[in-house]
Amino acid sequence: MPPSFKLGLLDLELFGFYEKMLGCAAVTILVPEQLCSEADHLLSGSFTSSQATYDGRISHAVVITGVGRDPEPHLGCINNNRHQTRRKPASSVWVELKSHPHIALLSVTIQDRNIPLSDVNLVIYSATEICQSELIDRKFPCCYAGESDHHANDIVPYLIHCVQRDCSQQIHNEKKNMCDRFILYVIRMILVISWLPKVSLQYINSLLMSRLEYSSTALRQILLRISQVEKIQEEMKENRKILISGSLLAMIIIDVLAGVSIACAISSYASIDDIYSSFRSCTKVVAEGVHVLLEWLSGAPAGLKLNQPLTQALASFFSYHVHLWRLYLELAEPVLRWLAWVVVWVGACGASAQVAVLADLLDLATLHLYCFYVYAARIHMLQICVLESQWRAFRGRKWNPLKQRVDGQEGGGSVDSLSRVLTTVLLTLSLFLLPTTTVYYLVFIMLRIVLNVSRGLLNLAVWLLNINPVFILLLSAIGSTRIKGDIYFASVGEGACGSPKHTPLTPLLLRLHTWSTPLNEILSSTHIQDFFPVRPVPHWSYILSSVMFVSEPWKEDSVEAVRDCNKDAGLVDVCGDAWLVDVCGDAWLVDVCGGAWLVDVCGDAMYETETENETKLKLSCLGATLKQGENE
Amino acid sequence: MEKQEWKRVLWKRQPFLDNYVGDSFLRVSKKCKKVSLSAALYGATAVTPEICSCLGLVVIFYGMSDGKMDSSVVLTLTAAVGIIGYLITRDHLAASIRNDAKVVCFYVVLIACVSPVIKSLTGSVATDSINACTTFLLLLRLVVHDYGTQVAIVNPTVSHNVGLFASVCLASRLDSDLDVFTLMTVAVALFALLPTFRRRCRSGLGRGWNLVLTVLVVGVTGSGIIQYTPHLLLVLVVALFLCNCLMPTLYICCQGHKQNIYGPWDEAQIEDR
Repeated sequence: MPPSFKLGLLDLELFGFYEKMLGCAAVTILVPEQLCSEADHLLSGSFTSSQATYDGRISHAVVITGVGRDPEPHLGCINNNRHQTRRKPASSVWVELKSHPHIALLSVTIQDRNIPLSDVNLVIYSATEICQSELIDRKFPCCYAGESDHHANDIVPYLIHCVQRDCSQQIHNEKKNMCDRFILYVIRMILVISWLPKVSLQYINSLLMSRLEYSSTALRQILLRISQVEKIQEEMKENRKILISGSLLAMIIIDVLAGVSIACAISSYASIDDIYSSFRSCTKVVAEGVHVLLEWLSGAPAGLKLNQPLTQALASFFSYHVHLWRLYLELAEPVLRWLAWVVVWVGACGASAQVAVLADLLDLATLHLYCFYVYAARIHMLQICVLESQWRAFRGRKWNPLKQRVDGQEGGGSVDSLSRVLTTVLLTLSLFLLPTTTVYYLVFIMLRIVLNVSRGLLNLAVWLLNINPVFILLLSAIGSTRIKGDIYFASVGEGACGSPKHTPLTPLLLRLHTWSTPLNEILSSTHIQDFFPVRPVPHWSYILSSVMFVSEPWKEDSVEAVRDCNKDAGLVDVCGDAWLVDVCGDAWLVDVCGGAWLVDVCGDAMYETETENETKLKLSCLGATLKQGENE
Repeated sequence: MEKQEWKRVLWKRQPFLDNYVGDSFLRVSKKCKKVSLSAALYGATAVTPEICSCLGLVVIFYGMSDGKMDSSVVLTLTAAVGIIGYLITRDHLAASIRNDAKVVCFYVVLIACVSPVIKSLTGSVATDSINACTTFLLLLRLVVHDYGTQVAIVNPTVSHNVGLFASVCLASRLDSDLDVFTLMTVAVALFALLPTFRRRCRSGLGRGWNLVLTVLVVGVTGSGIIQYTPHLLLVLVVALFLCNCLMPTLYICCQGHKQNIYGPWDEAQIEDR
């Protein structure tokens, strides 16, 4: 008895082995097991034949999908009485089956030629499993347009394609049941209600992104929720697939329940005033803490001896800022009261929205710390730049912008002594004031890192609430047919379920079983990126480099410097017009003779194009803008 | 016997064997030049005024920080000497008077603005560290200064800047703004203007006048040291002795050992002809 094994799709070797195992069978007939114990009916389905490429043999595949639909061409009949024969000579293939007590093949005629039964493979499959499974056509895609292609060599995709097409036609005629209609009605109401908020929130979001470069977690979450509801509606209207819509629905329901329960719990413990006053005392504590920190810095922090006038000036500057911040908080009291109410009751949109609003509130409450970080970073970076350039000048070297390298000063000894005095003075000042600035910078960077870590944790919580795979786990736990995505063939053994004994004259009897797809594949295929956000991963290299070199506020300056250097050094092209392009903020482009070179500042990335149109196309692919520089 | 001299050429037919190497097998370097004792001693006197200016800066610093010297007096003296020197060398200068006046104005404004900041710059650094730092920087200045020779170690920019750096370190120890301003002006005069003046003198005047000037400078420095910082007198004497007596003698003695013998196995040497 040949063992059962799974059939890989484009595995020609395996298929060849399968064919050898089957002998020189030329016909494969696939019959649904639902036909067992059916009365006499005409059979419907589809039929194809193709020529094998390697030895020119013609093989045929007959897929029987159901019984007796009149408009369709019939492929055969169930004939339990041996004595009656009904014959339709018009069709090219005619199959006669027996359905009592088990399915057996009586005769097969293809193109007026009776095929001996030993040349036939009879495969029994379960129509409901293949109909209901949503993942199976992902694994065995039927990418052929017409029916006259080489289908018979790839039986399984053809089978799936025919059965599912049949199923979808049947479903199309059925009406939706009550439950679906109710859910669709509710979803439509929600979408109608939330249309205006959605438009306004989108506008606010785009405004924040473009002006302040700030992506608000709460706005993103609410917009995501609305788009998920839209997706549910779209999926439920279209077809019977419930994987995506089901998991989205389950996730949203769990989220909303959690949010509403949290809101009720909070509001039963404390009123809005209590929440607001606790929020105010939190911010007061934070401001006091910053004050204490600044006083500590203006003394001798950790035993370091800082430059007294400078440290006192910086500390008083930052303290004044904290004072301004407290004033601002007192002025914005009504807005904050309303915010506290919003935090509690936005739970109606889901617990993830609550966490997202909390993340945004954290940002808002520590805005002054962000300002401090920016000030300290700018001062520090300025000092480091001055130090670097003056150190070069100290040793008698110069930056050559044309060659982008440091040159000695052997030839040009025309530096007069005043500039040397200036160099020395600047260098000395920067060098001796550097420790003080570095201390302030480090302190504020630490604070910022702590805040970023906490914000990252809150984002992670939001993401976890967004990708709840409860529904899919449930489906896989009960072994639902919807997640079956794989196929294997098993031969029906002797004496099993009353099958006939094998003789050399009977067809080979096989059974097609389905297998569940592994969990991670289901999750990855249903979690489409638009509706299930990607896991927030911190970019460690970017974080480290921005800590060391503060890339954010200075990015534009460095690009400007590069552009100006190019202008000064006179990068002239042959056709007389130099194009300067901002590609992700760190590249420039020189137009030479109509084509272009897109070069990265470090010389890493290079794209070369021949014509102007190609240049424009390449730039639009990279998402860049084109600005024309001056003629040199 | 072969009377013909063997020449190291390949295209000429010579009556020698192919593997013959003559007297030119071991070449002596053509670069060694014999220097006489008096030339060495005279050359060493170029270093002496530099040593004296460095020590002079330290003397003025000590004088002002102890309060024995009046900073306004020092300032007027330096300004007067500067103007005299400027008038003497005005014919050789390329820039016009207006440019020079602008430079002087700019410099005065710069140093005056920076003085209060410099005053409190090293409040947190220990005195010993400042002293050590200054000593090291002045030594560095002496090492890389341009004394008129073409050697790789010479870097006039570095020597100028390092001298000013050392003077900023010293000036940060003083108490009043005027003191800081005075010390910076003195430093610029000693380290930026005087070396060019001295170079011009050395190339313009004869040997005798140069020696007289050197002795004058040494005398002035010595008297200043004795009056304001007696503990530096030993340093001056040792430095002068090392620079003017010991080093030239050592140099002359070791000249004889400076004979490099090269053979065909060495890298090719490009000789200046």
